[in-house]
Amino acid sequence: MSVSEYIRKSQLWRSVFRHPAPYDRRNRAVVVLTNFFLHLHPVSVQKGGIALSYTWCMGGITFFLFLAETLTGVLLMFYYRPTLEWAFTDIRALRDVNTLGIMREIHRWGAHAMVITVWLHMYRVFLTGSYKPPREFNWVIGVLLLVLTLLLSFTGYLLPWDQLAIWAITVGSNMARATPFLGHEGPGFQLLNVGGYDLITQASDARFLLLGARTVGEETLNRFYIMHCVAIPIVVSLLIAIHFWRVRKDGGISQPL
Amino acid sequence: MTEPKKLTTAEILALARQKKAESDAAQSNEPSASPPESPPAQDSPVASESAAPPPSPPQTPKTTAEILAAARAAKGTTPPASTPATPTAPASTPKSTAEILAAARAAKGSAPAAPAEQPKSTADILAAARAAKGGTATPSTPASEASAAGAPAAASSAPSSEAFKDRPDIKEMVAAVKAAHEGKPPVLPKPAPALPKLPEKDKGVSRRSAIQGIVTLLMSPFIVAWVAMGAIAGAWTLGIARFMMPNMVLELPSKFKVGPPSDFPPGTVSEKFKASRGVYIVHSSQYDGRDLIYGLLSVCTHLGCTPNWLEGEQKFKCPCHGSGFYITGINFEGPAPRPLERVGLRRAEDGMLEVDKSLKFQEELGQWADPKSYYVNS
Repeated sequence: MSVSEYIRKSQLWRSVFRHPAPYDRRNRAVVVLTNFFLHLHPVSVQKGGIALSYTWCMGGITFFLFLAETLTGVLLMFYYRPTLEWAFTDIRALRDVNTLGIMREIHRWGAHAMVITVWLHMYRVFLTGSYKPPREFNWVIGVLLLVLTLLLSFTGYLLPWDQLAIWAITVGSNMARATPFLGHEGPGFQLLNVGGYDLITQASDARFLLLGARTVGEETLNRFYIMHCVAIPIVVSLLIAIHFWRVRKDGGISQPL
Repeated sequence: MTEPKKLTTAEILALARQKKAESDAAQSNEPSASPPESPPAQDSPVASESAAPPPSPPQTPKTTAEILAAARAAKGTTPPASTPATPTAPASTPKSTAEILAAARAAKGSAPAAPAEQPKSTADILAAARAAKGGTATPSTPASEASAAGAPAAASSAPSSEAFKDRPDIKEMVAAVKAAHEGKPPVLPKPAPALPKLPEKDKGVSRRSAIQGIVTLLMSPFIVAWVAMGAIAGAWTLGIARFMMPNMVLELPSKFKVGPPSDFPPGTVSEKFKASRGVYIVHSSQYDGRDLIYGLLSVCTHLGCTPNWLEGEQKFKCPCHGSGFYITGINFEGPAPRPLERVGLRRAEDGMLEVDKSLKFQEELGQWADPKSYYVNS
């Protein structure tokens, strides 16, 4: 009995791999089907599905960038404290002190690239008409993912806590003042009042909910940090799973007719 | 193999070929023999029509291909067989399809003419046709004689194409199968001719081919891709490990000055640096009689709590589990297994006492004798 045969017949191996080695066509398919990571990809792909000039691989690149952002983001969390005292200093330390602080640059440029690729992915899907039935629901999921990608960018923008970040979020969040009904400068906020008291004020409108304060401050920093690192990524992961699942269920990746 | 029902197609073909060859040989040896395969001519056409065709006539090569060929020949080279004025056709009007076919075959076989007399039976017609086709029968030969004389030639040239010369027809196959079913031991076909031998592979692998194989394997996109992916993954793993080792810690330095020796009167324990640096500064002569100033780490040797100096009881008492230590640091009660540890202490150049927490001195190991662990007040 050779070593490899011994390993393959051991209980440890067989508890992990429930199939023989991929010697034949069937087991090559079974390997993919019974592996959690491999089963995300179909066993067989139609030739048109890998036509790069058609798909641009933009969805795949976006997903790759999401994984890269997740990896580098988790690493950055080890060296970043979302407080007024440390936020800016920690980002500077990543540049000046920490070995391989380039993780932060990878994270930043990857974020820029992800916004670009997600737009290009959407553009491709639009040009090829891949949003048409039966894929119209997946288009909606994709739109949600686009919005969440932009929100990830927006919340991540504040975390370096430099002047650019503070004022960008100040300006950006000012738009929430004009939210209809829910912004204290928006149309119709007067309708939401009880007994002559406005429910929507500077300290109770959508902007206040977003910032956690009247102005961008430490509460905003903590709020954006949690949104950026925990809340949005969880939702994005769920929607990505649904997105991929629907790609498979709606007839596979769209391809030239 | 002996079970007749399990004959394969190849065996059936082989049996049929063999029977055909035997019958050919038999007829060439005995041309006048009239076995049941060639029934005698009958006078009554009605009888000939009602008579079933001979069950196993090897010389009945009436295949579809042949019929078609005959029809084409008749159409292309001769006027329709039904026309009485045909010079090569019999003068009498053909009566049946068989006769027409026979005439057509006769015309095709370039025989001078078909039998002048009207054919009497199907067998006659066929025999005449074969004779005419084979080109061996004379036009005046009676049909029955032509049947016998032309049989070998007809049998040998029965298929319309030279390529199918040895192909047995269906009736021969059926006859072979029947013979097999009747209990006769089936004659097994001869083994197929041996295939041309392929060039033998070299038993030994030459060194050149082995190296070439390894190089080819290593340069294959599969290997290159996996190596590249493994290298990138390894680089990232190492990079992440390095990234997690901080280059900067926000901790106080291990060396710090605690003041001149005069700040620590004899027989006292200073808790001034307990909270900030975790060190007691002790001035006592109880350990070995010398007047020493030393630093004790405020970490209980039981489980790491911070003992308190109880001035009234002159002992360190740990609040967690009640371990007690003398002013010297020697443990005397409670679960603590060994004395408190000393840290490094020296008098710096400026006269200040300097504690070095990076140094540890354990009494049970005899390290308290190290002069780095105390300052002798004099």
